[in-house]
Amino acid sequence: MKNKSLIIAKYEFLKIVKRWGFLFSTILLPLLMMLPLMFTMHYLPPLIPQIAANEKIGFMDYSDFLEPTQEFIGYMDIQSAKQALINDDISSFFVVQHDYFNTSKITIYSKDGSFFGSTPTKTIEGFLMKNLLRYGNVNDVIAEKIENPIVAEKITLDKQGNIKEEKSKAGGFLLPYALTFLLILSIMISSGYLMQGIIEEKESKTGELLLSSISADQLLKGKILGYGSVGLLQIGIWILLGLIMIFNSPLAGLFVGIEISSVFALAILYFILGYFLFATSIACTASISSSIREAQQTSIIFTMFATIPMVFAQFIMMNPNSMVAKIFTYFPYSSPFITMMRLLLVEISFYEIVLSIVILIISIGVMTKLSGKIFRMGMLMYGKRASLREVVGFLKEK
Amino acid sequence: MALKVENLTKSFDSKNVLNDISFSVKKDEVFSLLGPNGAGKTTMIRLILDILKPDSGEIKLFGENFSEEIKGRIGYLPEEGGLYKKTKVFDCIKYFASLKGMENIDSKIDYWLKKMNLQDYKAKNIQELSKGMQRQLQFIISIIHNPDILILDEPFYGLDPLNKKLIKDILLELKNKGTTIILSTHQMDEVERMCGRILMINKGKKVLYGNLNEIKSKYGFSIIVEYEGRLPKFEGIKKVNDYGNYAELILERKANTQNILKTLVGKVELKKFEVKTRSLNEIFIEVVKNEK
Repeated sequence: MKNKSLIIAKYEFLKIVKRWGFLFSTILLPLLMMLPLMFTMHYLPPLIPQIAANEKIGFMDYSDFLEPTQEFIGYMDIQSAKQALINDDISSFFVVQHDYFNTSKITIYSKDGSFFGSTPTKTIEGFLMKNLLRYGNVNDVIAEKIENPIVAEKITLDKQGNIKEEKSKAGGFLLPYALTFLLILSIMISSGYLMQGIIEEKESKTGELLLSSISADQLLKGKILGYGSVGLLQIGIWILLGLIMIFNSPLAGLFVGIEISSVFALAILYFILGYFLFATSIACTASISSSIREAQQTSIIFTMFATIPMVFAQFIMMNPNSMVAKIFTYFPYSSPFITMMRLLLVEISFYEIVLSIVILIISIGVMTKLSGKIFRMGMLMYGKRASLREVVGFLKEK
Repeated sequence: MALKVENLTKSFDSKNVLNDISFSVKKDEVFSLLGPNGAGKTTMIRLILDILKPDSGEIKLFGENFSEEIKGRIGYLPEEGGLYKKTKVFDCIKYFASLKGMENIDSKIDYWLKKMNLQDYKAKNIQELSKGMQRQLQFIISIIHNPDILILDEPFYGLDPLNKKLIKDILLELKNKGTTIILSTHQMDEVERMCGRILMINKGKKVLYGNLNEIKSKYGFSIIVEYEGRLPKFEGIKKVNDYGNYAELILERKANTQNILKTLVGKVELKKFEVKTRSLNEIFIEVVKNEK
């Protein structure tokens, strides 16, 4: 026999994704919003910083084809180029490797300190193309190089000239905010679908029929899984569309050098844990309400918890290691968002992350126990909101 | 024994809803669960279905405690149960059947839709069906998985006489095939026609339990009289329900029906005189009133 929770999850998932409203809000609406945005972006000047009129860029040419100019200064060894960078004689320098004509590889060195913290890649690209074209007799190798002049490795140096891991500051601020916003949005959307699904179930009075075939716990699990998948799918599509738009626009430069794979892995873990906590909480409030409006009113306390990161975003970004930030890291209803936000700004100790996850898991366990009882009894109440006394009675049920 | 309930007690918020109820339902029988509104029937059904847990007492189905496997052997038609209005008829049956562990049942669904004269609505949304049709659909959902025990709460609610008969015929077929049927209804005439044994609860207590004929004989007889004129006073009559041209005389245990007939002759123009056991409806009203 198939797992009954999975049958419920599949049914609820398909019920939502087959609706026109879902297709519209998930695909058509973002596309419609993206079109004018993409049009505007096409005409925006690139946000990747370019060389200023009075700035100079250094280079070391192991492939021996670059001609120095007023803006581009040639160096014989890397130490002198580094020293020139530290002394602010040049804004950055790049090294053209021996195998450039085979690999297109260059290494760009820049100094930590500018807001964007990025490199004038386009300017360097232009300089390389100019030099390639000087050959006159453009063969296939040169033509290919002109098409794709560089594969850049980027290195940031600190004030002492030591290599520092590059992290785009604009991206470094935007990413935590965007990721936190997306986490909140995805959890709230999924929980919203769950709330709607439970209310619809109550309005159609199918609770008793379902509970004669499946336990309340299985039913709740199935619903949480089904609606969670809907939320994840919707957010996944939005992220995909967003990334396509960003990486085809000048905004791409803001995210240069940010390592996101481990962050995304943790974000998915926090999404799952955060969603389970909010979902079990919202399942309680929805099952004791008789209409979507009532459920929204009752759920407002949990919705408010979710807004904490947005309200305190500026403060936490400025003071990511403050006591307030740490408290919110451990508070289960804010920890998925705040931990992710802090994680992208500062080094958070391993134990802090583990502790926040442990508190979240314990909270989910407690809420699952409570919501199981409230959900079972609440689903059997039709057209009536449960009083506080009744809810206490539900909790006393075996 | 299909169902055995022993010393079942359940209370909500210190209010005793069921108090020390014991009864059993035999295999293949049609058993009726009766009681006025608020008596505790729905709570009893929810306890049998394991939707609620008892405070004390024991429920055994087919000699076993409740389990996932047993859940698949029960069919249930709730009184208030609804359906997903925007779902197609066929998909809805299939979904609920899958929760009972049924797979590859398309032909079976077609069979029951045809039997219930709903085949033309197979691909329609449930909201397009009339209330009676929706009740038929709920009935299909309750029996699609060939349950061993079928619990029906007001199954005839909203049905026209034709469909009522159709469902009664199907219930008889199921009974003959070995399905145990527990019927909870206020339609006493249907209970009298279909059920061999009954349990009546009132205010959470067992007030009547056993073979229907034995219960009825314990409550004595009544006489139905159709007449013109004015009814005289009788001896041996517990109560007279006089409706003008029609009266129901409830007899005392030792009443002599011949003497009553003699009293009537010449006093009124008698059109009908029928001695019968008291209807379940009368017994129900009497029991509930006495309990108050």
